[in-house]
Amino acid sequence: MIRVTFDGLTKTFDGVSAVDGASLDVAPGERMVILGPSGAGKTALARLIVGLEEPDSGEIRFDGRSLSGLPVQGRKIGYVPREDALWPHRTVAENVGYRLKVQGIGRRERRMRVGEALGAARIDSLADRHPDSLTPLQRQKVALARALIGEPDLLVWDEPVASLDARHRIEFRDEIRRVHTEHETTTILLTSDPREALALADRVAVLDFGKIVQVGTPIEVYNRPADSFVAQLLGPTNLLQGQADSCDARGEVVVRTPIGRLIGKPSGDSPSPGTPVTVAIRPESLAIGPAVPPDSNRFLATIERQVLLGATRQLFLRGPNEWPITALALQAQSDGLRDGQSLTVSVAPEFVVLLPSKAAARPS
Amino acid sequence: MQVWQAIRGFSGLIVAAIIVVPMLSVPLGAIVDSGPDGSARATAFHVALTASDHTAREALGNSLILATGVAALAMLIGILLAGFLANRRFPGRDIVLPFAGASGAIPPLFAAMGLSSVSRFVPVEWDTTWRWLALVWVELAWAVPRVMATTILVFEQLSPAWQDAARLAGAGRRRAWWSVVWPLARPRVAQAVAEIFALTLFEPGGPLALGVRGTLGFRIVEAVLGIDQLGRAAALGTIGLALALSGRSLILWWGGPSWPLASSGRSHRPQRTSLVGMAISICGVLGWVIVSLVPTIALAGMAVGLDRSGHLTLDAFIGMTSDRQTLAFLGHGLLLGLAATLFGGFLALCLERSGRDPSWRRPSSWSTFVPPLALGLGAVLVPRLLDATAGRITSSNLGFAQALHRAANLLDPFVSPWFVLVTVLAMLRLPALRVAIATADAIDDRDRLDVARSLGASGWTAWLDVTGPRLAPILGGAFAWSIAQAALEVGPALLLSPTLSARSIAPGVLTIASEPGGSRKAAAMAVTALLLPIAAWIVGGSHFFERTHRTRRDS
Repeated sequence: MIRVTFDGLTKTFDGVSAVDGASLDVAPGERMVILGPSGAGKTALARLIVGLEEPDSGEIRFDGRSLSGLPVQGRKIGYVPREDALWPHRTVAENVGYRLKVQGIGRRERRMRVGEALGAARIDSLADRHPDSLTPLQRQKVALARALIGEPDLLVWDEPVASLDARHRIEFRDEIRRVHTEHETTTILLTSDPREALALADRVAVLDFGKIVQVGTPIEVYNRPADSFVAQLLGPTNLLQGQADSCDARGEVVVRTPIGRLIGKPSGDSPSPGTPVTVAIRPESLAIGPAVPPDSNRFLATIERQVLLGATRQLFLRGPNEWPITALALQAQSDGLRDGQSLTVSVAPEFVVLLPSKAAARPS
Repeated sequence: MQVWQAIRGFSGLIVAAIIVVPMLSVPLGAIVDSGPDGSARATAFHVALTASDHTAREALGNSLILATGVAALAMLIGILLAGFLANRRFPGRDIVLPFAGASGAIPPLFAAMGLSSVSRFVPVEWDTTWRWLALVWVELAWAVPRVMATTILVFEQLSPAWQDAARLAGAGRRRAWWSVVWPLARPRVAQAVAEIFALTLFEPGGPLALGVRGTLGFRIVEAVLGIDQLGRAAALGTIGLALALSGRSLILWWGGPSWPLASSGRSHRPQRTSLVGMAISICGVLGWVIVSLVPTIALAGMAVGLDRSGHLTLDAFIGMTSDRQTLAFLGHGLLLGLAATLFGGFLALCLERSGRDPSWRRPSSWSTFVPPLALGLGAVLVPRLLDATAGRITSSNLGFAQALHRAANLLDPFVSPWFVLVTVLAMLRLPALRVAIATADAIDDRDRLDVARSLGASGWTAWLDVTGPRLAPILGGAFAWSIAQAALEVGPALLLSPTLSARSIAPGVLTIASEPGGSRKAAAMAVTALLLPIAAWIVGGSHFFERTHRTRRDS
């Protein structure tokens, strides 16, 4: 298990900055997920980490040792790219055993170790097949076995489940957890899917325009996003533009918003009175109904329409000043609600997150 | 309607028969001839005579060495150039790319004429060695773009992630290339090389223009056009075909099975390279462009000026090309290309619409196995064999014998030269045309047409606005290239248009060149004929050249 540190990594392609001063420290054996939307620079960052690209500036260190100038074949890294990159002209066993062949390991030992690797991934029956005859899930497992056979110090996955359907995604997430537990390898996953990030990460690093904008545990990043970009990237959120009014000793801040005064907690430093802030409230944090817990924020809203999502129901509300608010309620608890009905909406101050202000456009 | 359905249904068999019958006629023509009474008889005379003739053995040996050498060199140079053009980014790459492939559209006959004209300015004796070197030059100029185009297409379909994965597994750049890129490219490159081998083995144009008599193509043409030497031509053709098919099989075996490549070349981007790498790429590609186009530039120079007195002779050029005989040859070539393309297109359409399983369409690619000259030779031999067979059965079945005589007459190039020639050329163009039609057929515009109609367009307007622009470059380009290539085809045209009045471009150029002082006029005609591939280029764009070659490989 190694500690991976990258510091001020920068990479520009044709004048376009793909990675812009990204810095991150991944603890030994940690499962770090780098989350970012398409075009955020995830693949460029992955290629820098594994050594397929040289950074314009910045440094990558394994256990404090700089990798600068070390060619890709000299780094002990397992990489599973977005497209599995299985060689079509080689069988599954040949794909998996290629690293051993390059290392000059004899045929007998190679066969034995490939057999073990395929057995561990439960794909030993596929050994003699070619990749074009495999399902996407099988291909991913082969790509994983190929990445693991060299017993890498670091495992890097770029969008590991992007090519899989919903059912296989869940199955493969379990596989990722199993591999990480068994091999205890420091792992970096790059994804644009927040659910995948939250489900797999020990810690999540959010990447935007080549910069790491927040690092934290999944629950921290989800509940206490650093800014409105992170808040929206992690899931649906209500954003309101407001102004800090006052701050108390517990760190709670009163904010004036279009739906009235709200008490919330800042994601970082407490804003001084009069400072513009953006208020983020997750739809599932909003409680519907007359029973309002003490110290909760509350306001009146009218149901505009409802969308059934299965176990939950999405409620599109009009709050004070006709401000649109989205709430999420369990289906069983929202059965009696009708469009046009007025109700009381409440939210606890810890779920009202105050972010540095970016103009929150009024949602339509 | 029933006739149309029958033709469609049996189009695979029809195509197979049109290709197989002449092919079988070549070996049959070597062992069967007409006895003194005109009836067929088996004989080993022609084979024995050819085998004992040292000029024939020399021609076979020379052509084998030439074909092997050209195929090997074309592969090496083609792959190197493809590497420069597909993988490296350098200034002017997009401009130089079409020029690097341009010599592939110029028949070796024309290039050889141009190169032989240079001999006037070179202070060395234009002896056999120089002629052979010139032949290798023009064959390479024609062959390298084929390998280059195929390899560029392969490189563009290789996922960059495959090489990355090899490097991550510990392989250096060179090893990653050998273990990932080359095994995937080799089968497709081998197909191009196999075709080059077979075509060079039988190539008649270059040797005829350069006067290199000791080649298979030269000897076959000489035998067919000579008096009573068809048996010898058939024996040479049989041995040549055996060599061509064996060589082809050997090269394809070496190439190995084809593996599916990435579905598109979207992820492929030429990479930035160091200054030295860029300089090497630019010098390599520019060097090739100059070397490959020197013969054509020399041809144009001979046609329009740059004579010893240094006078431009553009007026003379116009005068030479507007000559009645030249215009007739050019017109014949154009009509021939048009007719062959229409016939080939019709057969391709029948095959695509036959409604049978894809194995029925397989015969359409058989013509890629046989060199055009061999197919032409087979077509020359068919009427002779029919006549001999008719002579044999006259006594037993007069009606059938007369039918055979009539068929022989119909297929005799002296009686109806164009009928057979168009058929042979149509077979040669069939694979590319069929793939173009299949590609066009695969365009499913139903949803787009429905949308256009829902927006108020009539069915016809919707088709013109939606499907038409997508079909035009595919079919237009493929048909334009087909017309140009059929019009400039050398081998079959030499053998199957024996009468002066029926000659098309290639035999016409040779006819004019053989006249006293006719070399300039022949060059002028050849340069004018090159307007056909240029026009095809304009109509179809450069990718049709590539598409044509790719589809021939893939089919």
